[in-house]
Amino acid sequence: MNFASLFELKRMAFRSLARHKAKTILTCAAIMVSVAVYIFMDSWIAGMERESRRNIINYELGAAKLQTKMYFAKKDEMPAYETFQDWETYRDILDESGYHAAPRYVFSGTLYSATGSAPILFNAVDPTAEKRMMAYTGYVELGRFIREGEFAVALGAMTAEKLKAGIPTRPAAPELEEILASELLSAADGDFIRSCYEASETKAAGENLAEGGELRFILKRNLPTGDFDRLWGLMDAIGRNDVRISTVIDLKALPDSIRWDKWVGELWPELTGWEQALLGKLYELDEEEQLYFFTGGGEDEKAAALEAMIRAGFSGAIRHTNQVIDVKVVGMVNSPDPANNFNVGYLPLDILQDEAGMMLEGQVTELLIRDKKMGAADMTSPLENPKTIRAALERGLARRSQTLPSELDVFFWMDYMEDYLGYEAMESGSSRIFSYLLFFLAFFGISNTMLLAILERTKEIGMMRALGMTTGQLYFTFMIEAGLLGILGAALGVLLGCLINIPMVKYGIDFSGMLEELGGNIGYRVAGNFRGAWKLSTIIGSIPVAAVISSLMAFFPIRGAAKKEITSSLRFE
Amino acid sequence: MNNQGSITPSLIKIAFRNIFRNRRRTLFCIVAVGIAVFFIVLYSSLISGMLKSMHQVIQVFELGHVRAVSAQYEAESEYSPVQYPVAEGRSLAEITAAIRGIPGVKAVFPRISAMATLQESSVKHATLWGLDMAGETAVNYFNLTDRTDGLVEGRYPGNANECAVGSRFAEKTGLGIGDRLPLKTLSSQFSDKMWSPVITGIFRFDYAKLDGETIIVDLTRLQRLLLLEDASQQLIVYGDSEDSSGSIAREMKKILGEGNVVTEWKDQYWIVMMNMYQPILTSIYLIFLIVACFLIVNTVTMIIHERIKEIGMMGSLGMSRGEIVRVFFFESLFLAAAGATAGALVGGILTGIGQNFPLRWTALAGESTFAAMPAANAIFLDFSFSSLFEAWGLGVLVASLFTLFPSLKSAFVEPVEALRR
Amino acid sequence: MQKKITVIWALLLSLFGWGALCAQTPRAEELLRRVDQNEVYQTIEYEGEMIIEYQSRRYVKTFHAWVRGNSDSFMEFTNPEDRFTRYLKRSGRLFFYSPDTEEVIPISGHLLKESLMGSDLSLEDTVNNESLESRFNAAIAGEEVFNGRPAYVLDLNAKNRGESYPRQRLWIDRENYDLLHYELFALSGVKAKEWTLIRSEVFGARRFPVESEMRDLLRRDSRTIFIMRNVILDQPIADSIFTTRNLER
Repeated sequence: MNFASLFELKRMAFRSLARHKAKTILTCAAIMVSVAVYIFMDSWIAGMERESRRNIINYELGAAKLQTKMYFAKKDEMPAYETFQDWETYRDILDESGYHAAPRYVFSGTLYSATGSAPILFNAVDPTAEKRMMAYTGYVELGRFIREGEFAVALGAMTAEKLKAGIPTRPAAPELEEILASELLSAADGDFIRSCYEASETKAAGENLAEGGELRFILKRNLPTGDFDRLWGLMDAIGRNDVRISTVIDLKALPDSIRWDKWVGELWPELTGWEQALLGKLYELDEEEQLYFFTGGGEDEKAAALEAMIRAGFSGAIRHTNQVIDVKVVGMVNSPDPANNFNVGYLPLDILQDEAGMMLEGQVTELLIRDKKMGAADMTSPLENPKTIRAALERGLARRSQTLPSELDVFFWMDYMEDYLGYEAMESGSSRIFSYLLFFLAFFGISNTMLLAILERTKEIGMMRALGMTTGQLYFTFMIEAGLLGILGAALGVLLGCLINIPMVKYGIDFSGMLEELGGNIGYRVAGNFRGAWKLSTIIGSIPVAAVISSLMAFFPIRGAAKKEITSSLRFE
Repeated sequence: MNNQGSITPSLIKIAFRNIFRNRRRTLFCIVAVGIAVFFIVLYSSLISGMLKSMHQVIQVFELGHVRAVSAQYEAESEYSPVQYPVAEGRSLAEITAAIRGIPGVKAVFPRISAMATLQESSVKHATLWGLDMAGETAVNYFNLTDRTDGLVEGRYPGNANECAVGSRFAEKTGLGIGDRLPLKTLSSQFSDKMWSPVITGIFRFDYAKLDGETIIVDLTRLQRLLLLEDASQQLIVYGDSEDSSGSIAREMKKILGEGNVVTEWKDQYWIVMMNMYQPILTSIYLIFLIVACFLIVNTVTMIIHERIKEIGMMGSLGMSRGEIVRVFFFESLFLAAAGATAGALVGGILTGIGQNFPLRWTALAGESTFAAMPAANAIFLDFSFSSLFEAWGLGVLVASLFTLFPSLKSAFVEPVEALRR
Repeated sequence: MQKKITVIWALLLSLFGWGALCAQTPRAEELLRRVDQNEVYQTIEYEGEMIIEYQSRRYVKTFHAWVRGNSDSFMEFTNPEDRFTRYLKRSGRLFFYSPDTEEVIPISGHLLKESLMGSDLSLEDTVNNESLESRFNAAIAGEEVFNGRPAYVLDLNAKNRGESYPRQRLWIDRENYDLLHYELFALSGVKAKEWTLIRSEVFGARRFPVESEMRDLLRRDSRTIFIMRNVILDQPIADSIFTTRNLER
């Protein structure tokens, strides 16, 4: 087979494509649809995966955190005493280097409302910084987000509802009656409140209403903003929003004395050699009192000793002071990321600085970091690599002739998400199954059409052989033809798939309204906006894959035809 | 129209004979419809298997088909309080008997969970879970993957100072059978209860939440420890079918009266959530359907296209257009029926066998440790006749409908013209 | 004032001794020192009753307690629900025995952070050894009539950061130096707990608060009443009481 004849065979392949126009179109269409749908589906799954990761970054963690290494090591226990100073400097440096930074002090406590209590994870935040970089701040469904300097809390909507704080969105009849019975409301106020609700017989989450349901009032969602403000004001006035935070301030402090049995049993065995030497130097045993007394030492030694005790998990090195903080609920957060809607509260960081708060005196547990160019719809950028951030911080500190304290480090959001990523792996595992199934279905579509198309031409194959075509030439011609069909179909499919994908990636389909409707107005917000994501590997890969499948599928009928007597192929129906 | 009716049987005969005239063509059509139907069956079986797995996790580990607790417990459920027994002041035995008398109730199990603080352990807090293991495992599998009682070593605790711990818990703490587990909990009477049961068994439920932080204790033993004699924190009720939960709940409400909360499994947060996500599953299903239908349509169209000459022949032999269309329609109906049957059969056999073998996420996607979602580690394909019929009907409908168009079109081609093609 | 709470609660826990207030000087430091003097008696033995009222529920605990000095104590519960539950504190260490386990469990580590019998006191508090005077600055804030009795009002402010309740206020009877009432404040100044004397009795030269009430102001409808009966002071208690063998008896 020389080059010229190869060329001729290729021309033949092209020509037969043109000759069997109808069949070509049908086959092409089959491949096109398969490829387009596959691309669409794959992009959707990729989009869903991205979406959940995006939620974590934009609603919960930021892209990276500056935190003490000790906090990170003990992050499951949320050691609120593992704080650091000077976050303002770091924030300014990060700001100069193109990052947003938001300080947080995270602590746990109990929130008491007039009717109940719940364990809450409190995030003390800088409202301005938080609004700049965290997306949940845009989902304060009722009320508003907290402001600097006020003793206020924005609560997860589900918990607020449970504790009967804020505006009730679906009160049972007795709850609404109780509100209306308040002496602090005028008759006009009562009428106004009534006018904000409509009666409904629906189910609350986790509530069984087998008997047709009890009467509930559903908050009208289409009220003018001013009405919501007035409603909130009335709830404020009747004291519904007055809540009390009870917590414990944990402080690290070197104990003045340590009981002998604790020293021997709890502390000593957990220490390393040099730590034992250090503590042995700083403390002295009083045999009579059975106590080890602190005898004094340098600041560095004291700091090192304290760190050793914390590392060893020695409880005596942490002091607990009871704290009660009265705040007002000013907003209810109901974000697409459910993590923000349940037992979580947001407080202004600046109110916790002194004795009225958490005695922070400028300390925070973490600094959330995000590239300024990244928005709520984005994943992380290369700038957000923890090493890059650390380097930027160190450069900025060097300019100020400072260094980054050794106990601090930058951690990537993924470092916190071991559990979550497990879940995502499971999710994508299941979506991958669908993806595989769809791939096989598309594969069968292509192969079936191709087999059929070539088989129909057994007569033609017989004719060609009668005219002296070798088997090799036959394979070549038909497989090229099939491959061309595959490429053509797949190219069209890619085009179609991408065209569908452009709005899918850009805007997505917003199911949320429908989903919430279907949930029976139970108030759960779901991440209902499904957006695709470009997956280049699939888009590029689908063309050669389709071409190869098509050509391979041409192989079998040709082999069948080539094995037949020429005469019988010519008689083939 | 009258004579058409009498002609139809012979047309059917022609159509039937046509099928065997060209076996290759027949085979293609059957394969196309078969594969499409098979994939639809597989997909819906996978989806319903996934949902079922979630339902089971919630039913076995959390709510049963219906769960009753006291209103005060419900309000403070985050703290698992034990001082608010369900239907307080009444005898548990008597209430259990009354609930058992509700028609459709299969089993009633009291359950108690209490918070415990562990001493000298790397795991500091765990949940004591008191249940009648013998009775419960007779009704439900506790390891939903292997469909066993979940015990991997030893035995479940009896009414003594014994307990069983999860495999992950055992791993984390380094404890094993025969070891003691000193712990403290608070009784329903606000008394400190220090307890140091011996580990007699290790279980694995393939459910991270339980395998990692739960200590299983005999119900009677825990009742005594928590001073809840003849009382229980929760009542878990199983009906003959999960669909009967509504009527059972209604009756239970009457029996228990005010101050108690009766919850159906359907009202669990994640079930509601999944129901909300149903449209998305449906749209994925629709995408499948489109591709599957396209496979059928394409194949059928090509086959008809090949036979324009034949149509011309039939026309010149004096068959009316309507008759030609009907012959083709019946032919493809038979083919589609055969293909759909084949597809449903293969799909049915595969899912029928598959429902006994778990598909493990871990094998597909690595170890899953997410605890908030009630999902076990594996799902089973779900076999159901209704979904087989659904897919079958769909395959037949689409295939025969789409033959109609090309054959209608061909039938309007002049016979002479058609013969020349 | 940690010590003071502990003192009050210690009675019900019998893990601490009790020093009666018998000083004459109305000076703040002096008053406080009286409070701190826990070695006034050698031993105490009594029958206690603790009534916990919480969300319109009532739990009654009765027990028998023996205390020797500042370091050894033993208590055994006698109410039906907790019968034979015993605590032993010896040389600063806590042991527990319950018929559920039929063995002695030493309490250590983070278990010490747990509350005792559903009360607001942690087990760790019971083994606290630091003296009140060294941790608080005291000042007399004035004089008031409390429950019909003229009283000194004493303000305590923590010397260092890290006290459980950094600010406390005491009402001390002007005439007989009974501690009539005290309040514990969280760091922010919000009142968190309060204790009130209901009845005190005279034993020889000392006065004992044999009936008192504690309220946790955060918990709604929650209070604990503590009653001491059959108090025996300064009678020798056998060594065999404060042994782990006695726990298992």
